Amino acid sequence: MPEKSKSLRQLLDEFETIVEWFDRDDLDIDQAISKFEEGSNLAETIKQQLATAKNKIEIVKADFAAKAAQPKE
Amino acid sequence: MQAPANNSSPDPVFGVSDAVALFNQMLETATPHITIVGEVANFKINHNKWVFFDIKDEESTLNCFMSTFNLRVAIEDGMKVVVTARPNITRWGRFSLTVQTIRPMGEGSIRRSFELLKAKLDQEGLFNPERKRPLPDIPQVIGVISSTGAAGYVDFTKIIGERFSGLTLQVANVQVQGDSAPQQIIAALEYFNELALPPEIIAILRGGGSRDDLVAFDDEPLVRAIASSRVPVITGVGHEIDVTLADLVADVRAATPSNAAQLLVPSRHEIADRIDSSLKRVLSQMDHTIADLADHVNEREKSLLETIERHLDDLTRRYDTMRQVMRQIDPRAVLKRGYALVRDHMGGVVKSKPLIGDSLTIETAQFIIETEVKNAREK
Repeated sequence: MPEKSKSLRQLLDEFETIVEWFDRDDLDIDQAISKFEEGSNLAETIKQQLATAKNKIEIVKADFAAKAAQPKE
Repeated sequence: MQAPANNSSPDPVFGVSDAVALFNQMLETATPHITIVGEVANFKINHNKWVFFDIKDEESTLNCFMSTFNLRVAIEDGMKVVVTARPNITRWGRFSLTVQTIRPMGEGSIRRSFELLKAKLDQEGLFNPERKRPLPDIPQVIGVISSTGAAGYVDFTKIIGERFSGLTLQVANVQVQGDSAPQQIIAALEYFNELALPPEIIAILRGGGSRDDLVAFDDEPLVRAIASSRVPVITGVGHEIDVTLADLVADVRAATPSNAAQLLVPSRHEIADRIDSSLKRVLSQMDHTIADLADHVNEREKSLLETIERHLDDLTRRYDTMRQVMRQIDPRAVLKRGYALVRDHMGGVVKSKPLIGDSLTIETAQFIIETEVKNAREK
């Protein structure tokens, strides 16, 4: 699944773009149906990712105590 | 006290500068640093570079000197302060304290210092609403400046984890209390700002404590560092009622670290609801389109039927007219009126002058009469 490599926000952005596509007066019904399918699939993937993905915590290695001491008198 | 001389030799002789150096050496050995509490008097700043003041109590006064670089809070005469300083004797023979840190002490002085600095920074426009930048909708990378051991940090990461998934927290572990805290936080701000790919938002966090514990967040250089951060900053410092200068200058002030987590990322439920309502909206748009299409088809069908009916009416009218005309020119109708039809022997209608003796057939309405021409003349 190509969605696996995408971040949740990318997926949400894509979903948003699809939803915005519908904000027009001259909807082509065939295109609309395929866009809707795409949107529903994305929605499903997003919900799945929300349920399973983990947040990553990276502790910065820099020593801020040492950095802070440097410019002092 | 160390003495350079011993009993068996005469006292050594020093030049004045050497003597001053000797005293300073002795002072440094005895008290390299001293923390003193007292009241400020004669406070003045020279050339925006050097700070001079006295620190005193009911009986004694000490001269103090420091660079503006170390002056991180607003100080004025009459304020109770705590200073850390290095004692020394100047070239002019005056005993002086070289101050490394100074901060107000006691509720009244802390409040006064806060108000003074707040007024100064406010006048510079650092707290203006138009300087505030919005939070990213959903950040992918958040720079966190906090103490990883502090409760506030734990609350923050816990709530972020409960609400959202798949994001990265880059955590700069710093002291969030004490004299070196502001400089460490500034170093962390600089670190994040200088990254080739900086985080989308920086969260400065510290859990609750007494107002005194939060003075690190009223530090002038820290406030200026937040103001000049190119990455937007959210603060979640102390309790809801505590407002620090860092809060005032930040792009967004969260009441607490937990509140910062809530402001930074939407909850899973919110997202799921947002998605569902978007899909519903899209579906209803599709419904409308389909209904519009059906209306359009119906209208077309109706107008087609009307056209066909119009054509049929037209045809019928034309048919009736033709029938009437046909009826009028029917030869049988003419014969009934008394006329006769004369044909030659070939059956053709006589149109040229017949010859005498030609056989002709006369047709009336009722009879066929065979005749022979006796005579024929021009009329």
